[in-house]
Amino acid sequence: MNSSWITISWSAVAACCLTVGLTYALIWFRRPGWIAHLAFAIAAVSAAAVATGELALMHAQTPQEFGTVMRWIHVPIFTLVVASVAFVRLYLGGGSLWLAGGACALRLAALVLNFHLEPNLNFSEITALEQVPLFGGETVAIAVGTVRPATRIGELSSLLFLLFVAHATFQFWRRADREEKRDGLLVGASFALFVIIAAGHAALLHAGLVRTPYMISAPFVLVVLAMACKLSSDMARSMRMSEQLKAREAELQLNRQRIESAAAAAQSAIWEWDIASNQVWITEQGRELFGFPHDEVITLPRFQATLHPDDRARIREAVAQSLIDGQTFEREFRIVPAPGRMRWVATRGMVDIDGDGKPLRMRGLSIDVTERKRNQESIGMLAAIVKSSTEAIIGQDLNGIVSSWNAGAETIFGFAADEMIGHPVSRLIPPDLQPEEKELLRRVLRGERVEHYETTRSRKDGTLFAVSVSLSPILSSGGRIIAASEIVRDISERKLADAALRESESRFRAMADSAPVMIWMTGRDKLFTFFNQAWLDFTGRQIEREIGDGWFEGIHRDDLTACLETFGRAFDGRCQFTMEYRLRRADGAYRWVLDTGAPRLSPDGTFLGYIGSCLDITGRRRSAELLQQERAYLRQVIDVDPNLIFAKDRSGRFTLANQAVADVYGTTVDNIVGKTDAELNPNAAEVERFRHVDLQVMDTLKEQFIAEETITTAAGKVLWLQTVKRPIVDEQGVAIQVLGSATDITQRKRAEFELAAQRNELAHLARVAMLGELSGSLAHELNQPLMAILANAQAAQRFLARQDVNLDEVREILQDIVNDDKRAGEVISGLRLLLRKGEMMRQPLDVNLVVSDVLRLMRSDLLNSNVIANIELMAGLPPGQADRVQLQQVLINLVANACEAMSAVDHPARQMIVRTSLTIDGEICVSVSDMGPGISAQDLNRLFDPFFTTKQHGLGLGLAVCRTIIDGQGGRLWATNNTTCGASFHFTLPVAAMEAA
Amino acid sequence: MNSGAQTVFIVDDDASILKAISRLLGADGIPVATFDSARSFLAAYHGAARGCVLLDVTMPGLNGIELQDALNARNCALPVIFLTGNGDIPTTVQAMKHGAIDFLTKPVDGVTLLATVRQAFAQEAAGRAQNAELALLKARLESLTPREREVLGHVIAGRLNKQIADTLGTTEKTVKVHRARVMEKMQAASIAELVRLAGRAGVVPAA
Repeated sequence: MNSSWITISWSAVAACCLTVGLTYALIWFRRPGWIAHLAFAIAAVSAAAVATGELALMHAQTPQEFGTVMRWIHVPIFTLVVASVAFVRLYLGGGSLWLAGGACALRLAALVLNFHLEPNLNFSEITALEQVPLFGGETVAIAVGTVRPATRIGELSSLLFLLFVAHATFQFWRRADREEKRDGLLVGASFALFVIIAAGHAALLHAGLVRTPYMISAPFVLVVLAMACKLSSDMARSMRMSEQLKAREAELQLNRQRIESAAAAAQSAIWEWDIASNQVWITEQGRELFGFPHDEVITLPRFQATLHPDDRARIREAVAQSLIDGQTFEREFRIVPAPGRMRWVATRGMVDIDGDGKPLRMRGLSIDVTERKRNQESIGMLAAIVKSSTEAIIGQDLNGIVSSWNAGAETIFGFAADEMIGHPVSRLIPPDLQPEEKELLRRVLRGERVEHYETTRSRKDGTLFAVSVSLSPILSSGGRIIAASEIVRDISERKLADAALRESESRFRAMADSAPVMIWMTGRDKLFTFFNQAWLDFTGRQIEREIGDGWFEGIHRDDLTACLETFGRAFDGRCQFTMEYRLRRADGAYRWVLDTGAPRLSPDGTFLGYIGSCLDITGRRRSAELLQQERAYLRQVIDVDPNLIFAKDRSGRFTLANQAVADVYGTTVDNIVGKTDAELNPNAAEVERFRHVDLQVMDTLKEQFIAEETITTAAGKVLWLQTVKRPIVDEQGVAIQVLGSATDITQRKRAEFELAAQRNELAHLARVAMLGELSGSLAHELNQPLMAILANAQAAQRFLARQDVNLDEVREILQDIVNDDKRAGEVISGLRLLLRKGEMMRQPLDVNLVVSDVLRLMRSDLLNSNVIANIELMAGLPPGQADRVQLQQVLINLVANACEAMSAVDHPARQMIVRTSLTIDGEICVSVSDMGPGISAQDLNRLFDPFFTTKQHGLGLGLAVCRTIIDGQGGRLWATNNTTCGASFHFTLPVAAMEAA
Repeated sequence: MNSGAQTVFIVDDDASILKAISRLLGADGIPVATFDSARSFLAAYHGAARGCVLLDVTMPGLNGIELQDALNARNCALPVIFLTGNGDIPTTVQAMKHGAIDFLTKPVDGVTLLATVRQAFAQEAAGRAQNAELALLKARLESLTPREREVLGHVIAGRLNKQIADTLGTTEKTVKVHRARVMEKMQAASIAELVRLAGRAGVVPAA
C-alpha cells in the first residue's frame, strides 16, 4: 500500500471515535442511569461509521457507487446528529427544546427524502467522477453532477443544531459553578466547532466552492478529544474524592471512639436516633445502662419500652415537643433496664434538622443519676422528718452557734428560726446551768452521745421548763466532728403528770382499803403488788405474805390450775377476765369467790398491770348448782324421750335438741345446738320445708300439726315423722323461737306401704284371673284385625303376581293393613297395661274415655252374651283422679257381672246401661245397670265380702277387690236393686285437683 | 242377589274383614257379595242364589249359628263355611252338625280359605245336578197312573207278573200291559234300571 495516508487517517479517525465511544458505552453499562454517556457513545460510534462511509466515497469507482454510498452515509449522519443533540441536552441540562427538536426533525426529513430520491438527497444526478489528485500522489473521487436544492434541508438542520449547542452552552455557563463551567465550555465549544467545520465544509462543497471529498467525521475528532479529556479529568477527580471519603470515614471512626471513651469515662451514654429509619445508635456504655444486649439493633419502640411505664407518656410528649420546636430535650426519667430494676436517667438531646426545617435525627447524652436521685429523696425525707418533728432539733457548730432550727424548736422555745440561727445556743439556757451545758458540749465534741439528759431550759418569754436533751456529734464525710445536733423534748407536762399520779395512787390506796370488796393489783410483771384491807381481813394474812404470788397458797387445790391458766391467758392478752374459785378464809373454810380483773392503763395508754376485785359468792353458787342439777335432770328426761324434741330461733339455728334429734342427724346434742338444718341435713327440699313451716309458725303464732313429713338421716335413710310445732313467745309477744316435737311414724308408714303393695298385688292377681276368663273374647278382638291383615296381604300378593299390577289397589291394601295393624296393637297394649304388675299411680284422667275403652275391649264378650250396652256419658265431665288400670279393672268386672246376671234372661231384653254423672258432692259417679234378676236382700249385705260368690266357678274375689280398689282411689263402691228389674253397681271417684294456673 | 254365577256370600260385622276377604277372593276371580249383618243377608236371600255362604260366628243381633238355622229352615241349598275368631268346641260341633262345610279359625290362610270355598262350590254344583235328576224322575213318576204305581211297587219288590195279578185281583195279561207302560214312562231299559230309578225317586217297594 503506497498511497494510503488517506486510508490511514480516516481509519484512525474511525478508530479514535470507536474507542472513546465504546469507553463511554462501558461506563453507561455500569451506570445505566447515566444516559448522557449512552448518547455520546452512540454519537461517537455513528461518527466512526461516517468516517468509514467517507473513505468509501473517496475510493468510489463509478458514479453509481458514489451515489449509493452517499445515500447510505445519511443513516449514521442522522444518528450522529440525534445522539449529539441528546448528549448536549443531557450533559448541559439546557438548551431550547425547539432548536433541538427542529434539528432532529429536519435531519429526519433529510433522511426520508434521501431514500425517496435517486441517487440521493444531495445530487439529482451524478454525471461523472472526477479523480482529484492530492499531495503525496494520491487521488480521491469527487462527484460531478447537479446538486439538489433539497440539500439545504440538511444544512438547515446543522444550523439549528449549532444554534442549540450555543444556546445550551450559554445557559449552562450562566448557571454552573467555576469548575463545571470549564467542562461545559469544553463540550459546548467542541460540538460547536465540529458543526461549523463539518457543515460549513459540506455547504462549500455543495456550492462548488471547494473541490475536496466530504469531511464530516474528521472534525468530530475534536469532540472525541474533548470528551476523552473530560473523562480523564473525571477519573482524576473521582479518585481524589474517594481518598477524601476514606480519610473522612477514618476520622469519623476515630471521633466515635473518642466519644465512646469520653462517654464511658463520664459514666454517660451517647446516642443518636435517626428519625427516618427509626433506629437508635447508642454507645456500649448506653447499652449497659439501658439493658440492651451488645449486638441488638435498637429501634425507637424498643428504646421506649425500657422507659418506666409512669414516665412513658411524659417523655414521649416532651420528645415530640422538641421535634416540633427544635428545642433541646432535657428530662430526668426512670428506666427499667431489666425486670425489677429501676434507674434514674438524666437525658439531654438535640434535634438536627435538614434544610426544610424537618427533623433528621436527635442526638444526645444520658447519664445514670439514680444515686443522686436516691440521695435527694432520702435527704428530702429526712428534712421532712426534721421539719415536722414536734421535738426541737437544733444544729450548732463547734462554737455553740445555732445553724439550724426546726418548727418544733420554734414551738417549744418560742423563738423563730431567723431569731436563733447565727446566735449562740446559750440563749436557751438559764445562767446557773451554763457550765453544765458547756460540759455536755465538750463531751459531744469528744465524740460521745448524750441521751435523755433531763435538765431545764428557758423559753423566749423567760419561763423555765423541764426538758430531756439528747446531743450527738455530726461528722464530716472525712469522719471529723464538724457540728453537734441537739434534740430537746419538753417534758414539763410529764413531770406534772408524774406528780399527779403519785398523789392519786396514795388516794386510791386509802379508798381501796376502806372499800367493802376485796381488791388486788399487779405490776406489769404478773406479780401482785397490792391487796386491800378487805382482802387481808378475809384471808387473815399479812400483806407481805400475800404479795408476789404468795396468795396462791389460799386457793383451793382443785381450782388452782384453772385459776392460774385463766389469769395467765388474760394477762398475756391484756383482756378482762372473770373466774370463780374457792379461797381459804381466815377461819380455814373455803369460800367461792368471783374474781374480776381488768388491765390498768395510764392516761397515755401504757399498760401498768392488772387490778381486780373479789366477791364471796358461796351462797349464790349453791342455788346455781341446784338449778344446774334440775336442768341436768330435765335434760335426761328429754333425752330419754324417743320423740324428736327441738327448738329453733328465727335464723333457723337449733337452741335445743334432744338425743333423738342427735341420733337422726348422727351427731351429738352439743354439736346440733347453734347449727341449722341446712348444715345437718343433705336433703335441701326437706330443709326448705322445715324452714317454711318454722317461719309460718313464728309469723302466725299458730301451732301447726304436720300429719306426715319426711326427714333424711345422716345415714341417708328416710324417716316419716308426725310433727307438732308451736311458737315460743317473748315478753313482747313476739315469737322468737319455734318448739317442735316429732314422732317417728316410719313403722306405721311402712305397714301402710306394705298394705298398699299387697293390695296392688291382689288387684293384679284378680286382674289376671279376670282376663283369663275374658281371654276367649279378647282373642276374637285380636284375631279380627289379624284376619284382615292376612287376607289383605295375600290379596296383595296375588295382585302383584299379575301382569297388569294395579298399584293404586295395592296401595289401598297396604293402608288397610296399616290400619288393622294399629288396631291390633291397641288391643295388645290395652291388655298389656291390664296385665302389668305395677304400683298404683293416681293421675287425672278422662273417665268417659276409660269407659268407652273398656266397652270396646269387651265388645265380643258382650256379643257372645248377646248383651246390648247402652252408654250414657255425661258431657263435660271433669277429669277424675284415679289409677287407669285399676279403674279399667273395676269396670270390666262390673260389666262382666252384668252380662252374666242377664245370661238367664230372654235374648232381646239383655240390655245394660253404663252411665257417668256428677254427684251433688261434686264427685264423679259411674253406674253399671243390668236387667237381670237383681240381688236378694241377704246377698246385698255380703256382696263385697271376699270369697262370697253366686257363680259356680267364681272365686268370690272380684267385687271384694273392686271395693278395695275404689277405696284406695278415695271413692266408694256400692250396689242397689233397680225399681223395675235388675241391679246397679255404682262407684264414685274424686275429681282431679285443678292445677293452679 | 245374583242367581247366575257361583258367588261367595260373606256375612261379617267387621267392615275391614269384609273388605279384605272380598279382595282375596276377588283376586282369584271369585264373585263376592258382602253383608254386614245376618239380617241384611236374610233379607236379600232367595232360593236361586248359587255359591256358598262365609259366616262369622260372633255378630250382634243374629249370630252365625242362628243364621245357619234360619237358612236351613228355608231349605237353603247353599253350603255354609264358618269363620270365627274364637272357635270353642261346642259351637264347632253344633255348626258341623247343622251341615257346615268347614269351621275355619281366624286368621285363616288364603290358600285354605280358597280351597274350602272351591270345595263348597263343587258341593253346591253337585247337589244342584242331583236335584235336577230327581225332579225329572219325580215328574216321570207323576205321569204314572195309580194302578201303574201299584204295579211299580210290586215289580221293584221282585214279584212275578202272576203274583202281582193275584195280589191285585186281575189277569196276568193286564199286569203285563201295566208293566210295559211303567217301563216306558219311567224310561227304564231293564228291570234293574227301573229298580235303581225307583229307589232314587224314593219309591218304596210294595210289601
